[in-house]
Amino acid sequence: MAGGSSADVERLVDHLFRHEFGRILAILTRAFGPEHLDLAEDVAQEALMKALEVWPYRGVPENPTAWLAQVAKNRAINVLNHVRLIKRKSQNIADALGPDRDADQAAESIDASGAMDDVARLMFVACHPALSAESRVALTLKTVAGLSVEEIASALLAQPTAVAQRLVRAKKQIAELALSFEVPAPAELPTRLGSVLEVLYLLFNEGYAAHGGDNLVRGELCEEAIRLGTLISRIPECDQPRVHALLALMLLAAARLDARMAAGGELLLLQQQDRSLWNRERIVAGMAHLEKSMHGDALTAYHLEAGIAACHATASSYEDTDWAQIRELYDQLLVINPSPVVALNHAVAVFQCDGPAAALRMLEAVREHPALQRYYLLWAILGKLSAAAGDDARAAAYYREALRCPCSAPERRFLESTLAALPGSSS
Amino acid sequence: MAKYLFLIQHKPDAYAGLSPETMQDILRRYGHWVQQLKDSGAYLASEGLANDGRTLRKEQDRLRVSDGPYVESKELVAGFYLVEARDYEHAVELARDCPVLERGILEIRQIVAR
Repeated sequence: MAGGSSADVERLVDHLFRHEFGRILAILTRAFGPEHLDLAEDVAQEALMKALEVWPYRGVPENPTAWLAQVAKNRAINVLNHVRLIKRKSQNIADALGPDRDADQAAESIDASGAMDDVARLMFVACHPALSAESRVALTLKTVAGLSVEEIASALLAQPTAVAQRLVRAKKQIAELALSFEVPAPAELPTRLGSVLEVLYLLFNEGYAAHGGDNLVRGELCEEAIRLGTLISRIPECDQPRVHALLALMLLAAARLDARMAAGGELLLLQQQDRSLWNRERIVAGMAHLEKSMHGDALTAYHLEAGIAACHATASSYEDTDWAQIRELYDQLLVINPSPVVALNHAVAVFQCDGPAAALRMLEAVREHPALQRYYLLWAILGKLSAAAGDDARAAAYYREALRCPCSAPERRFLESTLAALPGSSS
Repeated sequence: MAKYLFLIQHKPDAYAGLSPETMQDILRRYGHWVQQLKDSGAYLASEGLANDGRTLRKEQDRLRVSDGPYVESKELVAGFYLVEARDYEHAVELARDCPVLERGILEIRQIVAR
């Protein structure tokens, strides 16, 4: 058989391996049980490694997904037979595996079609509320999203050893929880689903902050959060207003991602962005999810944030933005989620409606908050408001403070150029 | 023109612990490299080799068959490409972008014709 062709390379669609890893791992976790997540990960990894032994010489198969699934299936059946052999010798392992797990059937179901439900179930395992939010994020990235420990560390700005330890702990906790590999029962679903949505929201925000920066993995988190959120929304039990609200908020915010960066790599503010670069498809999809989120009377923080994102996405220009509406949404959001970051954004809306003095007054209480001291946006917004109020010296001091906080390379360049443009800041 | 064998060699664990994204990237680069070989008309054949195998030797007229060549720490032949090239210089030129060079070595041997 022939080696590679250009069609070969085209069959390796973006992130194919990451997504296939998550899909195969999900089915294997069903077969082995969530307590054997490690084993399932090993088998999924081996399936991908097999491709490295064959495809360089024989080319990428017509259907890479089916090829990988077949390899994983054969390997899984071997593992299950092996486990059964040990099982006869050790009652402990037999107990651990459980009596009624139709493992063969699950292994048989590894094929090219479907299995996306299993990916969503794997998310429920990785996002169990008993785990800390940090652990849930790390485990979701490792399993469902197919990232390596190094990639996760890079995405979360953490040390690889710390991530590895977090993963070991999380898997141990999952084994102890003795979870079933199912969409949680109705009584449990609200909490379990909330926990999954929280992780997606965290992933999205991590990615949003870093998009277009020097850190590629971090920037891809937005796409991953949207992909996984869409999978979740397709599970009938999870077809709920708050899921659609979260998807709406992510899609509407992500629609602006590409317009945030100028050709030279500098960050563009909302008022500087070329709105024709906003992704129409995403806005349309986001508005459709926003519509679905209105069914029922649930009002979550996701609803309000999606509403705010929709105000921006549908405004024809910065000047035409409905700031009064945005301010009102932030008023409500502050009631549900009185976090300093929300208060900060609220102040920006107040600035647009009532001017810098009113906004600066609001921020007096917020700026002392310990959680914000290393948050560059606090200082950048204070700088912007001070400049608008005509106090350039104070504005410059705030921007310098912002530069002392962690931020992405484009953000840093933006702060530096804003500072340089202030009158009398050359000192 | 003569035939040359590219022996792709790396340690058996060269791909262990790689992220799915990195693995896909390696495959993408192999795809591009092989495409170059084909576009230039040099490509003839290629196959990958399994890590396990059997080694046969005779000891005092008795055949000894041992498992192998699997050795964790040693670079082993993982596969080969058969190409056509004018001379060694040309063969080196064809081989220089092979992705194996990031984690292993590539040995070129001319097929002896006469």
